[in-house]
Amino acid sequence: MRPLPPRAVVRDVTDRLTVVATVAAGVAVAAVPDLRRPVLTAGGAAVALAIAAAVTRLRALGTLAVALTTSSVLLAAALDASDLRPVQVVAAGVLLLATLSALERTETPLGRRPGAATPLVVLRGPAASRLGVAAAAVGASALVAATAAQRVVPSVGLVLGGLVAAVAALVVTTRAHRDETANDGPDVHESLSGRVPGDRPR
Amino acid sequence: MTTTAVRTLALRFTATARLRRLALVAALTVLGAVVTAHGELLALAAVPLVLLAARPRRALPTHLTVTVSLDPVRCVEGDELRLTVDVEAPDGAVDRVEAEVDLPGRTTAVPLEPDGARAAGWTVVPTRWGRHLVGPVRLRVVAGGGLYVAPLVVEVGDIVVFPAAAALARAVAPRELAAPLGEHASRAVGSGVEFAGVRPYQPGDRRRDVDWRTSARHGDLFVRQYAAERAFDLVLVLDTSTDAGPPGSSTLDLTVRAATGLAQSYLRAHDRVGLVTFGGPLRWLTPATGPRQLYRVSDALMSMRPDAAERDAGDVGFGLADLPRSMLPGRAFVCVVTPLLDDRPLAAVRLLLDRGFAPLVVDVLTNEPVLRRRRRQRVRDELALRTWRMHREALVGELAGLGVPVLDWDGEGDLTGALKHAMRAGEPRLRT
Repeated sequence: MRPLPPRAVVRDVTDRLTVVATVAAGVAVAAVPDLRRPVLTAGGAAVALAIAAAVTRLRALGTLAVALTTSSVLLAAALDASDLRPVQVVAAGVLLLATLSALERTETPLGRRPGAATPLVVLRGPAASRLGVAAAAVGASALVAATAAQRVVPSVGLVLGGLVAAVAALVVTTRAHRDETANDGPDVHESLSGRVPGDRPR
Repeated sequence: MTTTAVRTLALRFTATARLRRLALVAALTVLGAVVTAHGELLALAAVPLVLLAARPRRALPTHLTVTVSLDPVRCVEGDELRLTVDVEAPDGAVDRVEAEVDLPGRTTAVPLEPDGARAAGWTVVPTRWGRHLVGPVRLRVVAGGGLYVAPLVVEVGDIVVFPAAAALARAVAPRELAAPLGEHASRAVGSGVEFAGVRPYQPGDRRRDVDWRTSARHGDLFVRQYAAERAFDLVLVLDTSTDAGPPGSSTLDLTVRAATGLAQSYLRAHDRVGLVTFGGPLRWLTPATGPRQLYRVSDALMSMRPDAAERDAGDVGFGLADLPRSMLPGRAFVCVVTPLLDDRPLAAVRLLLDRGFAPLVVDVLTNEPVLRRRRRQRVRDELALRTWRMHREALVGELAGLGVPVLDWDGEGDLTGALKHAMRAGEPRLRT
């Protein structure tokens, strides 16, 4: 395995620490101010999994850590909704996003050899479009949280309508990412001397 | 010579871990909100849902234009090549394109400094001669806000890395030369430019050849004589049976560099150079002159690899005795380049002596075997090493007994002086 240059080592350690820190912060946001045993248990497990994911770089552990962090927030809300203020939910959402980004930086992308040199970035898209979508997501979250915090007399219809809208949003979003055959182009293996059928033995 | 290719490649995207995780968080949260009937939890679901909804799969680009260029594709060991990758995509359609390149052994790649242009690349430095495959360049196209990734593989091509030639200040030659029309002053008198002596004037001599100073001193007419300029036939006999030593300065590396240096220098002096390899499969290249012969020699050298099967099959493929006469012309100077690791070079030298040649042996072994660290193994290794040294000394002694000069060459020194001595004095053992 090729040794990493010092700057890359610092970046790698920072990314790993960020994974643990964001998961811990997400759990803390969900757990305070009323520390309950189930929330603490789920949160503790999430932090432990985050540490394991940061150390081993295993994708499955990272996904489990994210799932457990989400579960901690859900548990905190389920046990006592009055404990979880809208701002906490939004903060938890932002921290989850940060966790996802940190996990991606820590994990080795599929197909890349562990310990291989840092790949060269040939093209980078505009930062405004990436950050814009993230800001819109946080804004939408804040809007939903603010709406949910309104003191209105709850009715069955209102609650059901909201939940149906959420499920519909989930279904629509899932459909938007259904695999389409339009993107199944031909084999992408190309050569300077023309197309080649497959991987050439080295 | 540059190799450039522009390709429009189809993209086949797959979902990343980010998409799966966002979907998981969204599903868990919506499920939790439905089960516990807590609408405020939907605020948590809003984040992944918006991120997923904002970048639908149908918005992904379907094609990408990739330009890969490698400059040059022919170089010498240690030269720098420039491998650049340029990617063209519709504005905002792609978040990031990362590139990695697969390199052959003993080749390094340093990313090029970004110069503001779209292209990125590496400075590739091959440090071992031969034909090498550079690439493929593996691209990773990230799109849809990091939700999708598509791998692309672009083959680059072969590079030809010529061996760094051994240092040779000038092409020296023996005094006895037969072939006409060359650049080496021979012992014979002719129409060259190198002064060879004076003799009494004879009718028919040119007036401009009269040496007036000598004539005045002796009171009679004398004319200057000049050495005839003749060509030289060099036959390189290379032992390719073994490749011992560290890569980069192994015996085969030194053999190839020595042969390249000799061939370059003598072909530049319009001499004829031939090549014979033994130890593995017997290959030969009939002596010839000119730049084309240099390419033939380089091609032959670069295809040389130790062949254990041939080597272990005894004398199969050795067959120096069966070489055609045109391969070993009379009065050719034969230079045997070998690490002297077994008796084959000795057999080859005996065959050459039998055919009337006076060969020079260039010994290219620079390293001794490394001893193992464990004490018991080390004792045995030391004994084996002593035996091995004795065998080599016996081999060198036997060559000296046959009157064959042996020149130690470690890849650093200039071969000119040693070759001159070997050709003209025939010293038994020379060191650079």
